[in-house]
Amino acid sequence: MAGTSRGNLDHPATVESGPHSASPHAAGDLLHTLTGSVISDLQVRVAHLERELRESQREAHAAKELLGVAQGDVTKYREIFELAPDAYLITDPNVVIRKANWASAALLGTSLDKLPGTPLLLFVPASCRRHFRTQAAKLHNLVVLEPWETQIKPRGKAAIPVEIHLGAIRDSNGQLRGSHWIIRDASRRKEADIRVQASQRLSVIGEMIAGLAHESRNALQRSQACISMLAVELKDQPEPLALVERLRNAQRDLNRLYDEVRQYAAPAIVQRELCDLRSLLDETFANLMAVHPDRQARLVHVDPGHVNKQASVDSFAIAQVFRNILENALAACDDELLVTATWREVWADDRHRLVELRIRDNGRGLSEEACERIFQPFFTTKNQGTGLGMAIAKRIVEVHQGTICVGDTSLQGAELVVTLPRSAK
Amino acid sequence: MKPPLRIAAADDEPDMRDFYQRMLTTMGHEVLCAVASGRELIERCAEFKPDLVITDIRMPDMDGLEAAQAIASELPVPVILVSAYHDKELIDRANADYVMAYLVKPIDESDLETAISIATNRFEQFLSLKKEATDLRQALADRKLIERAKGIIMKRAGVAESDAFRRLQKMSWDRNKKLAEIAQIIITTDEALSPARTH
Repeated sequence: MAGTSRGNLDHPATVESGPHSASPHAAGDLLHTLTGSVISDLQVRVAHLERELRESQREAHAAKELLGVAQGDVTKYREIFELAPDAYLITDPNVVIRKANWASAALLGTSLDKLPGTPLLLFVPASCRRHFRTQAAKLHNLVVLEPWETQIKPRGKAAIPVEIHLGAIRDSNGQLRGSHWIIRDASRRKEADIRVQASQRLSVIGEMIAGLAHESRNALQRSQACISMLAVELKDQPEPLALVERLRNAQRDLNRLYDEVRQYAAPAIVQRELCDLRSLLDETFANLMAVHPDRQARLVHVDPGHVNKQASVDSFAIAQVFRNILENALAACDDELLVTATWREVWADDRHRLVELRIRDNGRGLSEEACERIFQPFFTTKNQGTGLGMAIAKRIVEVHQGTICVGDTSLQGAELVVTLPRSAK
Repeated sequence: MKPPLRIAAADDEPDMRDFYQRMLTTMGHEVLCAVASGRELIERCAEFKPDLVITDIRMPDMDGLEAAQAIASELPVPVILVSAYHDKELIDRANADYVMAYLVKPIDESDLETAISIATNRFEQFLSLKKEATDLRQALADRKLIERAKGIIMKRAGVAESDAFRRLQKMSWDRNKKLAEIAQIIITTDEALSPARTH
């Protein structure tokens, strides 16, 4: 281009210093004049052409840059296509795969090089094929389809739920040239959906149970009132009175069951106050023994490290945890019951220290099944128990950001390990 | 054995009214009424002046807490609340000095018996403490009057404190009036005769 440019600039000079300029004749003068006019005209044109040329050079340069950008974009889009987390496929009008990305190969359970040329329908379970064909056929009239859910069967694996987004590829005449597909694995989302639904259901059931247990109080009260009145009516008749007594016992069990369900289902509200856990355990033990004057039991503390047992807890709730554990011990052991409370301090993390309390009895210990299910609601090994005691204990301890679990089972007796933070985090 | 009590009860459940009627009678008490609403309870209490009120909380027309408040403002009577509910709002409202017990349904006669015994004892203690507090307050007021009267005698008669007090005592004996009354008379007289007041 530089050469052309120089040629154009040289041209007028060549004309001026040409053979005609040397001629002295009139004709020669006219010619000279004419030539001069033509030349000046040509010079204007040349200048104009030069401008145009420069303009088009600029345009060409800009176009080249644009092309470069477009090519960069294409590379980018190709990368996005290839590395997209969802399966992205391009098929021809007969739904035979033309292009596919890595995620498609992973989803369809095959290698990437085997996909082009394979009909997509091969990866659709037989039961879904009819609907799949109908959907694909809709593209003849539509540009984009509403996403729909179906199943895909990867090679050698069970079918999985997927969500499909489908769009048409048309040429400039509107002729269907193929379609692009985004296939999204919906199994994880489905699982999450199910979990959310299940937890919603559980919370509704929980509220319902708490409400039921609460509302039942009035009915239980009426029944209680009538039993009491019946007992008065029958006070001189020992046999029917014995029946009333049995009725009363059943009523008492029912009350207790409802009470425990209420406690388990009620929203946990922790009213913390500083208290000494050892005194709390001693007190709970003493109260329990007062209710069972016929039993013989001892509580001993093992505290080699002189653990600081001051903790900010809901003393009423924690006493209940202790009571439930001790009641189990009392039920599982023959006299004399020996309860050993071992105290230790453990680090929860760099900053928080926990009080660890191991409560061991000298009874039969826990079976493997009991170990697994002890904290499950309604699991019980006792003849008279709701099976909520340990479930409630777990709930209370967890509300306090503590833990409760079964301890060492290789030694005699059952051991429960409770850890509690000194204060709320 | 404690003397039998005259009891007014309220509950919107017929079974419960029956229960109170029969069981409280069996325990040796006299059931003045067993009504179904707060308004009725107020009316009957005004009429019978019971020794003890036992009431449900949630009842049609007026709830038991409101009724108990109205009754207690008219006559000092211990109240036992018996309710199926014990949410914070109710407990807060029940935290008045005349509420001597709050039982959560279901209850049986033994719960009732214990609560009645504790409630009446507590209420007696409460009343005697209240009386004691009133007496103390009176004693303090009397003491102040006597001190002022003593000061007046000391100033007017120009005697020592012990003599001033002895004069007061003698006047009290002679006139068969309380020391505080004599002191009040002296203070009033002094006020009447004081130059600042006459001019």
